[in-house]
Amino acid sequence: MKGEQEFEEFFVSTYGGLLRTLTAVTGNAEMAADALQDAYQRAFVRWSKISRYDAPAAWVRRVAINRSRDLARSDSRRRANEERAADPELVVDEEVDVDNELLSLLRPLPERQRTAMALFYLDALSIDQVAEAMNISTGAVKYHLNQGREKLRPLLEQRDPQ
Amino acid sequence: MTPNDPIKDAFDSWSGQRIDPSAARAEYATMLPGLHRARRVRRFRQGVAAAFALTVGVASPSVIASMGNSPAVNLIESADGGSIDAPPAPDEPEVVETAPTVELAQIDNAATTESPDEMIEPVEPVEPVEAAAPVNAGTGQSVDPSTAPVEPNDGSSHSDDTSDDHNNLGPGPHTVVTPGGSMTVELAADGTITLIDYTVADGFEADVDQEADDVDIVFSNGDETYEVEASISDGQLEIEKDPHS
Repeated sequence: MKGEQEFEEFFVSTYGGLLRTLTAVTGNAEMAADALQDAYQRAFVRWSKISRYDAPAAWVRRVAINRSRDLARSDSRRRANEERAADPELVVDEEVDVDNELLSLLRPLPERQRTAMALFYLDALSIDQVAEAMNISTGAVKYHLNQGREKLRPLLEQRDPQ
Repeated sequence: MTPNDPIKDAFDSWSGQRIDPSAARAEYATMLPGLHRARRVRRFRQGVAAAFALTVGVASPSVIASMGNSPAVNLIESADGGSIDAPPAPDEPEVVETAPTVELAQIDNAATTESPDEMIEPVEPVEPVEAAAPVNAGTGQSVDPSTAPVEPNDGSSHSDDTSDDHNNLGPGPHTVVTPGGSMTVELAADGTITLIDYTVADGFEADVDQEADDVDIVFSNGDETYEVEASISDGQLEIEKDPHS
């Protein structure tokens, strides 16, 4: 698959799903969109190569996840600097709220657990595929999923008491 | 995972960030100028080596013809957002470390004349040129060319490249180093790229994607990611190093 037209079709068919996943991974819709834009740019300029991959979307997802980590680090540093400089009483949470209970449940989880959960449950990837996307072993994926489930389950029960 | 798994249900019922195809297409239209710009920047980076070859007088006539009469003009930006300085005036000594620049408009023109079926055009071939200072492969220290032993030009020379991109590299092994690891590749006689060796820094993992005409390694430790990519452009080895995402 070559050319700009094909890339556009690839983008249209994959963007929505990847944006959902990245939003769940980052807990921040704006950061997810930025990370995805960067990943698609990288795919665009390498399209003659990327288009030959079995799963170009997996490549974009992986680059976007890596990019989102960089953005999260930068954002964290920026916030820390701002909070140090600001009056503590005036500091407010600037998280972009995309109206979601799921995101508020996921946000307290460590990044690896959040990523594993989003890829497994939202993208319906297999354990092997999650491991490939996160560049970690399948054992590590299972560990992060189990940890994530253990933390989410009581939160969900708290939300929906039987 | 069972049908009654509350965690799965929570994900399945999540309505956030649903984008329909028309919205995705609109997003693509918004993003398209940035995509084109990124492609021009990448082309520029590929073209820098050709311009450099022109400056030192080893470029082929076809490159000179393609560059026009004024190959050295300011660049607006590089891929990492930084700017590249203008080259020295003709009467000044040549400074190897300073990347010569080409007119961005020429890159724009190239972008508009490309074949619609192939988005990335190869760079015009030039004679192989090794811009990096000679390096002792054992110590990694720079070697004074005037005192370094002269090696036969048999393609066995070995260079350690630490700058971002290298185009039209000559025969022989070439090593590119990043904080996450290094990669050594060689352009084989049959025109394919051979991955001779790679090393991974402590704490990093390497993801190797090796094809006959392209070797790509991503070094990642979860916090930092570095990518090195060797490819062939018009029969010449081209190495790109990217401290990306």
